[in-house]
Amino acid sequence: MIPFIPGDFNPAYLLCIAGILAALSPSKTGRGIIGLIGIGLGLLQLRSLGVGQMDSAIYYGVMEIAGYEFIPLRMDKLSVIFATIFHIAALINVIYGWSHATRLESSMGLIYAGSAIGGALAGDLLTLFSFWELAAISSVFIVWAGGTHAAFKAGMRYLVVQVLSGLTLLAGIVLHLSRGGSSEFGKFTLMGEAGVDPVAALILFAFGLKAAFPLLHTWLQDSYPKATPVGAVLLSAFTTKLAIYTLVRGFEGTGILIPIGCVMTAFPVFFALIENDLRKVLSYSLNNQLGFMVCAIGIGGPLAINGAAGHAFVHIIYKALLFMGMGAVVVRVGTAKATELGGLHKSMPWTTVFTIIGAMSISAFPLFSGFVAKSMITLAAAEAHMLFAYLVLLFASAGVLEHSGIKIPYFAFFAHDRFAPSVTGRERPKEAPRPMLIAMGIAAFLCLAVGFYPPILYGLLPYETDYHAYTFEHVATQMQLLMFAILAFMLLVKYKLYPDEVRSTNLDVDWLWRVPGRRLVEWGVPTVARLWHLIWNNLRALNVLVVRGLTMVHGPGGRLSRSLSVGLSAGSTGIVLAIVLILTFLN
Amino acid sequence: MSDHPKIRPEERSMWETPEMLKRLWIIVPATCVLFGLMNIVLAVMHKTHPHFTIDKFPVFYGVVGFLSFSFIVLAGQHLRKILMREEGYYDGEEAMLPRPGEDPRVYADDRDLEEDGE
Repeated sequence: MIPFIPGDFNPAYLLCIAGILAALSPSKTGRGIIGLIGIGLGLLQLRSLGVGQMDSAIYYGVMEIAGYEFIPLRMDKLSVIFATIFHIAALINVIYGWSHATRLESSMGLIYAGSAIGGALAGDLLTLFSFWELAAISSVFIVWAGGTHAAFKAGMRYLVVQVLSGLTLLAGIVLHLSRGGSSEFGKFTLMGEAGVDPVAALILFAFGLKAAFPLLHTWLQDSYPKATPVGAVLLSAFTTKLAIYTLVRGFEGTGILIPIGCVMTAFPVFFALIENDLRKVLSYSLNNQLGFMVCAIGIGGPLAINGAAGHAFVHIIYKALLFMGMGAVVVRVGTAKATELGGLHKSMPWTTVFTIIGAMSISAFPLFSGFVAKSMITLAAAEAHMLFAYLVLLFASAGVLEHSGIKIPYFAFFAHDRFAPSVTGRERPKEAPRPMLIAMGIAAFLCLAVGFYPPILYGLLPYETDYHAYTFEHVATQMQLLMFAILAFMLLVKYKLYPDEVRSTNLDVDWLWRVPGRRLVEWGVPTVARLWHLIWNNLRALNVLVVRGLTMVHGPGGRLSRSLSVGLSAGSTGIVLAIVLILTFLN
Repeated sequence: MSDHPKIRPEERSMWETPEMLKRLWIIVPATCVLFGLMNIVLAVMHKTHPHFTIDKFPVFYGVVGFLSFSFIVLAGQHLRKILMREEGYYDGEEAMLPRPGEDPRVYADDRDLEEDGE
């Protein structure tokens, strides 16, 4: 326990306070130091709060307001593993951005990390919603910090999607509570006895938007590559993994997630192959990795959930490492486009080594972190005897090797040397700045540490496990898969069947709303305006007509405003009375 | 790993020499054979735990790796025929700008660039 911090203080607030202070700090070094202190205190506070088992969580700060029970902190092994990795990611980010993060990125990055931590530790639905929205709003500034007009527009699209996710979540929560559901964020049942539960479906949609489910994924590939080198690393860590956490918590064992996860792992492989911007390749790769986790969540059970949480943990580190490597290239060369890169290993050897460590981790080579986590997911699919899912996961593993394992390091650091002094007439680009190298070094060390000594990871997993990644069989099968795939790569390059990189934009489903959707709006706005004018003009004409008619009847000199004699009034009253009397007698 | 027609021989690193390429062509197939054999030995010793019928075949994973990778590359590149557009398709010329505009008030100054200036 930290003496000057209350015992049940939320670590998320520590990061948010650090973010606000960082915004006020005059110097970059000051911002960096504030970030380090905030994250350090957050980690200490997280540890001092303790960890409960999956079925006996520790709660803090529970209070009831108007019948709703707020649980700001729920500490169990699942929430703590995510909160821990979010702290580590934030730490790496602060170091990486030590000399390159803007004021906006430093401060919003800390608030963004804090909101992801708060979301992971939130025990009730409204607290989750608050952090869910805070993450959306703080992260859009990081997209906008990209600085270009394209980044601004991508940020707007990003914001629309994130806010839509938040609103859907809120709608789901309100409906859930109004039918007497518990305020605690627990498991939802998508398929009840009466078919699909619409409330659970709404909440799943909200989570799925942030987890970048297929067809809902384009905000990710649209915005991340347009952020700055530092911003992309920040963005890669939090939003989607918070969504993975909520899926684990809310939809473990929901069958529909298996096909969704399978599609998610498989389709980005093809898009990553033809993409030229290497940071966009990494964004597709991110989608593919999330697919593994979503698939595991669909399978359910201790092994699969351990796999999903463990994979999220190691994935955040190696994905950040790859984004950091490409970010360093952008800092030095100004672009991450494969067509403009190559041969950088000669002048950026450390960046090359670190990126290759990230690439080997994501490809799940034995002794690297990806291997110890991903094998749990594939094993869970095999043990559940899901042959199709198993084959798709193997296919996707070969795909990961293609785009992240080979393409990223090969085109950036090897392939065609475009920076030779005899070609450019200039010196080669320099090695990455020192803070960036330190951050990459830490991430690379963590990838290797988990790969060499998996108990570091296994101790943090939600369920007790006696899983051993390093059996002869696992190593032999995984190495076969990878080495035969590399052999295929070498043969394809040798026989010139591997596609060259081309400067291009590749369409994805967002084309539907960015081109025809936009035209529809552009056509729709004046059309609706014209229609409205038509209706309004006719209504006005009708109004004039009615008023004129009324004036003719009731106005001065109108038929109903003539003055009549008293005798006529008495006579007509007598007639009415007579009619009433006759009718009464007849009855 | 690939040919570099434009650069001078002395600009090549140790990773770009023909000898390295030759070595790679020995190492990679040898590793394939090694792990293939390892799996066969494990299968003969009944130390494998296949979960389905097809993965009883000892080099199943090698075949899957090879075929998957080849399929992705050979089939995937045809997607370009449908999906590929010119670089500035969505955002016009701004999409082609090499890097964010560096307004010194907004963008952090690069220490290493400062060092360059000295």
